[in-house]
Amino acid sequence: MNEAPSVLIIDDEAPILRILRTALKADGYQVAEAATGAHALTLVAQRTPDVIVLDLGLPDMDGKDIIYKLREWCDAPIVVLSARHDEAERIAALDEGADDYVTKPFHMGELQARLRAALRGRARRDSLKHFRSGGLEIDFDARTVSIDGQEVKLARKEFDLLRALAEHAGQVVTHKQLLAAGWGGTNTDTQFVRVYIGQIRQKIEADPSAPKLILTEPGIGYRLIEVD
Amino acid sequence: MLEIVSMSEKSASITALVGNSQWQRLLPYALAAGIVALATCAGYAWSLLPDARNLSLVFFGAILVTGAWLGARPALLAAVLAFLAYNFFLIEPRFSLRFAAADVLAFVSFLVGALLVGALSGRLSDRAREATSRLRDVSVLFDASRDLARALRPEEAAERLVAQIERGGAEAAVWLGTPPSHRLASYSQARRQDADTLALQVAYVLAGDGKNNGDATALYRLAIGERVLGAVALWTPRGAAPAPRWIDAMLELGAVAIDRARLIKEVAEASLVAEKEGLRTALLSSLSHDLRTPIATIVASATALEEHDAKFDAETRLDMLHTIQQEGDRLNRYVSNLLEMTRLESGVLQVNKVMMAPGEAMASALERVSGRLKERRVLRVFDAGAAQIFVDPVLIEQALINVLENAAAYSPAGSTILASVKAERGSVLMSIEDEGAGIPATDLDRVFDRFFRGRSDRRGAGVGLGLSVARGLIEAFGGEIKAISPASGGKGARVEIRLPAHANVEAAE
Repeated sequence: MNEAPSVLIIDDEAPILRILRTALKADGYQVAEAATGAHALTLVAQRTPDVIVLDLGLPDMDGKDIIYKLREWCDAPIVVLSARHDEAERIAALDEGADDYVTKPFHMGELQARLRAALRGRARRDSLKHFRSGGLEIDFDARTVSIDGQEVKLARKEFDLLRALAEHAGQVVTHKQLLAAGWGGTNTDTQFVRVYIGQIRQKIEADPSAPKLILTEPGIGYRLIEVD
Repeated sequence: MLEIVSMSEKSASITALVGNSQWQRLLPYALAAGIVALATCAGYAWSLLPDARNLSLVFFGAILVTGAWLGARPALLAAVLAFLAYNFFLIEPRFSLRFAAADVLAFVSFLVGALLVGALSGRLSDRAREATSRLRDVSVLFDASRDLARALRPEEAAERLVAQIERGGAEAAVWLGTPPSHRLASYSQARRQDADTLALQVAYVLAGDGKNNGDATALYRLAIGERVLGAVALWTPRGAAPAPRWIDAMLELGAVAIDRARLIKEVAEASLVAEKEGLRTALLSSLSHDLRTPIATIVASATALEEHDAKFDAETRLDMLHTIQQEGDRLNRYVSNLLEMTRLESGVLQVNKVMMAPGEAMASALERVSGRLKERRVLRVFDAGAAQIFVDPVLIEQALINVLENAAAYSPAGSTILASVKAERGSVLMSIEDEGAGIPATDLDRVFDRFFRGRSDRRGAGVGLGLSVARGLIEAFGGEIKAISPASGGKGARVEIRLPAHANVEAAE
């Protein structure tokens, strides 16, 4: 990216807004901020930011409604800030079109990594032929996977799932999205996803009981870690 | 529906609806004899006329009248008497009983007529009597059911049941609950001691193990389906006992009324529990948001400093450190208010009351919140003279700080906050007035409720405990706190704290 990426922070808590503004500016972002959902929608209509940080607990609007309204004309990635126990709300936000989430309290480095993954994700998904992270290499055209140069045989559904994770590398992929990727939405039992992810881990993780590549996001889905 | 265990065969065998005297029982027979006597007179007079025939029909008519009016037995008596009188007075030779073979026909027809008509009319009058008594029972039971249904507590239902049974001519005692926690709930005045001696048998009956206690008392178990509600002891007067049917119905009504009252009580208790649950949910949701915000800010700032130290200039670093400190203070305030609230409610709050000048308390509170009031003009009007208040200096300061912070949170920057201390007759008035949006009249009381927060605007406001804690503390010092809005300037709100005034130190000791 040539110019500095723009980020819109939507949060009603002044102290959080302040620290996010300071830290993200220092990280090279152009920062815009909104304290209410209404203000945020106006700002996005004027100029679409490259990425949006959205606190789900706004005073004037439900977080899900804001995502729904934003998604009507704006496809900028949305990273949601939510309380740790609001699992159902987080899933609803992701279903509504949010790209990722960070639970409060968060480490600044974690949020920045999520923002980077969100910014990269769009560009990658359009023209992804090859993926590399740590020792994992995926060739999407040849449908081959290798670990530290050793080729690993994956079943078709296993490959489809790994591909879905790799397309969103660094971001959470929900059970629902994985079901859609592997079964085209005909299957709705998340147990299948757990079983297949378990099989993939057996094949690509050095220690499948302590996964380093595919991390579990409890109750939500999985995240493929990106290592440079 | 109602399960009744009768404990006394004696009482079960009592069937009479209403007590009858000897005379009442003999009256129909006397009447029957009278009717036959009349018929005899009429028949004798008729026989004196020329061409008198079929004189037996007169007696036959008398028997039919007796049977229809008085029933089978008096009719039979009438038949026998009629035959004798007919034979004696009207059959030749007159005034002597001499039976001919042909008289048997008259006698048999008299008897058959008496039996037929008597049986028919007996059945009819039995039904009529039954219907009347049923109607009376139903209206009595209907009144009783209306009376019992008014009971809102099981004990009240038990009292009403005893009263109804007394109205029916018996005496009773009612126990509620199941062993071992059953208790005597209500009893007829004269039966207090009898009831006490029955406690053990009642326990047996309630446990479903019937046992005859050997006297004229009947014990019944009150139950709805499988649920045992209690027991009733019944003392019935000899000879004039209420019908078992009536007792069954009354006890059933009593059981229904007690169960209904019990349900009403349970519903009331359940709504109380639900209210407490609601409070807990409110606490959790406000904690989850308002405690998380300062924590999130602190963690984010600290990690940003750790990871990007080199990218920040000195001013930014200082700003972040300042944020951490400020949010730490805010967190501390929330937590200490929460703890204060818990301590107030559980009664473990240590109060060390001393005599102090009210102005001193207000001044130190203002000093403590000076940081938060930086953007407001603070006007002080202290005019308490020599009046003293008898309070815990730390806690009164906490209460005033909470009120001041509330004023700051709900008023715009640049506005004025008026803090005044005045001596009034017998009391000290401390008030804090702001120029904010004020409080709607409907919320003036609610602002002191736990977790209440004005409007939907949440920024700057805490978890909604500040004023609630302030009220708890002020009331612990024997004072009162109230909110007035709009305040003197026609806008904003004023919180008034009134505490008992003491002229000097001796007055308190």
